[in-house]
Amino acid sequence: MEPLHSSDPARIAGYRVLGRLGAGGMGVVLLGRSRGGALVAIKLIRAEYAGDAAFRARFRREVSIARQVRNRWAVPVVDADTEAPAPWLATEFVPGPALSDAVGTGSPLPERSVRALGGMLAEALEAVHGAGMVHRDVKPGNVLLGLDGPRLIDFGIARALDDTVLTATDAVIGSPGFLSPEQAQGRRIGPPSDIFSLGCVLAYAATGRRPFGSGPVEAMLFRTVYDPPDLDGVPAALLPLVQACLSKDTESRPTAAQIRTRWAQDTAGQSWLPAPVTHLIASRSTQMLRLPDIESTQFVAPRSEAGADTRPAAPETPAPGRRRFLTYTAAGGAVLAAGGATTAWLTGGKGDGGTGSRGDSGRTKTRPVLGIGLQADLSGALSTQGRAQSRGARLAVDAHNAREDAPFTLKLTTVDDRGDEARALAAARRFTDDASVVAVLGATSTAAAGAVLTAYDEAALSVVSVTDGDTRHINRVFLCARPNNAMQMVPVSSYLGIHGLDDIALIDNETEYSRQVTRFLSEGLRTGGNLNVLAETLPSGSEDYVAYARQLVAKRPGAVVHGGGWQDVAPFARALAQTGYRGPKIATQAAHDPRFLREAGEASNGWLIVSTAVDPSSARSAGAFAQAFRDRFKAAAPPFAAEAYDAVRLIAACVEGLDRESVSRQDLVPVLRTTTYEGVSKPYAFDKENGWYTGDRGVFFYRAKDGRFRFLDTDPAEV
Amino acid sequence: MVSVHTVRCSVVMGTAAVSAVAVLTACGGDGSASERTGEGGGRPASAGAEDAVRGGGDPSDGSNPDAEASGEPSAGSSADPQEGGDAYDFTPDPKKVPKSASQARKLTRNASLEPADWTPGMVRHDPYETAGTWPVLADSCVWSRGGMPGHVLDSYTRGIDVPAKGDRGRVQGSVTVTVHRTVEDADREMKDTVQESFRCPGQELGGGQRLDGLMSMHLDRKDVNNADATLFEAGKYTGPGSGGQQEYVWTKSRIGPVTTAVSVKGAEGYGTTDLLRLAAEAGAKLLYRVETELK
Repeated sequence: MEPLHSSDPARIAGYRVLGRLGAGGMGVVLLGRSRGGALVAIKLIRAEYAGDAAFRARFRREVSIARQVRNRWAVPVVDADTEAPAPWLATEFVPGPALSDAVGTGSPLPERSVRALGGMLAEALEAVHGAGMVHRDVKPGNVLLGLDGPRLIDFGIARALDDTVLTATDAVIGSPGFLSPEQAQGRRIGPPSDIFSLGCVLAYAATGRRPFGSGPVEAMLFRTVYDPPDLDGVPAALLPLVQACLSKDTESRPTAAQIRTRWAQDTAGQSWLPAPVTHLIASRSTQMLRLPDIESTQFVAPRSEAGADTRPAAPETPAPGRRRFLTYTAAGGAVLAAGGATTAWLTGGKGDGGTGSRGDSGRTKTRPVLGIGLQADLSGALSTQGRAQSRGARLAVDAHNAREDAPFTLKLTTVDDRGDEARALAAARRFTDDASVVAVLGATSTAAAGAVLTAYDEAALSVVSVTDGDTRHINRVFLCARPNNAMQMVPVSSYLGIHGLDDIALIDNETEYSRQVTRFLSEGLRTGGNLNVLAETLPSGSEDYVAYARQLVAKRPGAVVHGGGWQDVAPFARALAQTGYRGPKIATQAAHDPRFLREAGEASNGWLIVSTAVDPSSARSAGAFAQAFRDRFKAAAPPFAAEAYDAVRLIAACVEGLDRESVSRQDLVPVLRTTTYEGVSKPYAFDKENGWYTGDRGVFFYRAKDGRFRFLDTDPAEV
Repeated sequence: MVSVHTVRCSVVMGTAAVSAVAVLTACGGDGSASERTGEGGGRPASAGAEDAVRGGGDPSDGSNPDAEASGEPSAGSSADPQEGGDAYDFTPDPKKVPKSASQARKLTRNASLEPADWTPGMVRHDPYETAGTWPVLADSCVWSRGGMPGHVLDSYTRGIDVPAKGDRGRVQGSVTVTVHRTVEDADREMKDTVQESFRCPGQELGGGQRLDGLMSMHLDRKDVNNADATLFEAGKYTGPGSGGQQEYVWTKSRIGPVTTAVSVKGAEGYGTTDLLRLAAEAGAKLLYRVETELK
């Protein structure tokens, strides 16, 4: 469960709002309590949809139908106001974990459980279909697990728009792998569509995989429409019915009643779920009953995709719990204060001793241990950066563990992925399999970071990267703790504007990195600044840089910006030096590399470089860190050491801000992005939707001079 | 000066957000396509295919196939490995690869789509076929058609529309199949396409039609499983009778020396997702047919 947002109402009709269970395209799902004490999940529709008369009519109709659905495995609607300015609908609240939480973080369900699940969900769908409606969104996040059986939630309500509109967020994060072919094609749908989705859910429950794979939405939709499902691992006895559900031909699918009849079984006297899941439900339910003090468990509160939950009984809540809940919602604010301790410790000058050595000594043993993983390139092409991160992270762990008042001990585990995709996956598995690891710092290279995005997402394990800035890397768990490749150009744009420059030559070397840099900047200059852009293409590894540079200079550009890496900027700089060009020359973080200075030689003089790495020895905010680093490692802090240090401190501060006795990785997913943190390199804040860095002081200017990068800080007006 | 700077800066930031959305949409949402050119004159692209479809998806996350060397700053290497799990591993039968213009013509016609192949209910555009010419985007950002360059054996385009119905307007689509002499030539066409929107984010198609706010990207190789490479472009379309600015998508793919392209100009009542579905459907069918021709 997430804290309430400032925009969330404190009350809806007679319900007091306690917290936020999730958010989706149509609105938010809130946890509320009735005057009588019953907990309800309230789906509150956004005003912009409410203003659409057709939408409201549909919502009205569906609420009235939903009220007629009566089945023990379908969560009942208890209240609704379809005429309110922001219409809402309340269902009973069920505290059990969603099927996606149980399977996603654990293992697939055994045959017996899948069969029971299928029979009971079919019974719920039978009631839905019997009431004349189609659920439209049968997926693991909408199936909550209870000790006696599953509960189907969110049926059909307000889904009419969603099933034809795939939002950008859904596209990246969502789960269209459970849509029917007719939904994927935007065709008319009926009850068989739900049956197809049920087949997907059962295959997922039995194997832990989506039967039409993962990845890009369109690819998944395509596979749904045209490919046979991947049912490897589905027990043979279940296969015929699952296959029938997944028939492309709607007529060939069984009805809900047929499935119920075929899979109905006597589960009396034994739990329908395996012991670990049962245990999980019990512990989670117990904790939820103590609401609003919602504690962590291995499986956590439903995330936004899980929608509403429900539970049949109305719990009593002790007053003290309420207070603790308020503390929890204030977590975001607490984090900022925690950051201050960093400086205090650093200036204290402590700083030797290996990672974990303090954790092993005496008192700290009594504290809980919080695991942080570091996936870095320690021996590959970017090992300089990887080792810098490793050292920065170790310093942060030691700083934390040295604190007398630290509520937990940090334990850092490092895995070298060599920047290699296959090794990156193995590294990710190392961390996803270790429940004590609550967050990961990494990876160093873009390729490695891209390779493990899905693995971490599936494990609900947060990843904070201080080096990878690829704009395509977006999911539920990835935090880009630096201005990304595109956003690093914002200060460049400002610089050009401040100096009144126009006719900006923008050089793209046709790599994906360069594309991300140049397209964003050209759009900003053209549309935002009304400047003329000379869009130039100089493919990486071209033969004749000199001829190219001459042609470019003949166009009399007001400034030259190269979007490529040092490998291309260096020869271009040498060629440009021969043309007599005297204007501004600018390159990006990909050229913030000593090899640029070496390869370009004298021609590097005067180049202005933007980078998201601070120079710890020059930036005042990082002074204490730089000193501590030198004391500890007998060397100057290299680029990305301070950023890694900050990332570890940020994670620790976030956990500390939660103020809970135990914290799981799932707890961190929703709150890490709401954390703000004053680091030694820069202030940190994130876009809640996509995990992008939103701080405003994350890009630094450097001027190449005499074989060095001179630090010029962040203000383009001072450069 | 300071105030000017401030204004500019905030405008740029605003644009950033918009661009980000565009990139996201492109990435996550789909792939798509296009052919440019106006009613008649479009880019020769080509097409074809029926409905055989392998399941390939298209879209999504774009990445640059050529990014072998990206210089990510911090991070590194980049690149999209060809060996990604789902990577496409079809190799054309050398005997089936066209060596002459007449062989190429046969392939482009066989691979192209009829209106009903694309989606039932679609109809011929007038003009329906464009063949033997090649579109050129001048420095002025105005498209025109000229003769086929030496590296192109044949290029064939069909215009196929979704008729107007009720309060939805007419969607104009096109499918193009082009056979190059070599794989390198085809690859160059792909790369040049992505650079065209960099050079000209706004383009005149002729006949009063224009495209604006174009953004293109290569898809990550590991996300492409029905072609050697796929790119995606999106923007806004306006033209006679378009009822204001509409969505526009274009997708282009390559199998060996053959490229396929699908463009869809939106109309009132259609969103990007609708166009993407249309484009993805035609794209997958075209590629399946091309593969069949080369197998």
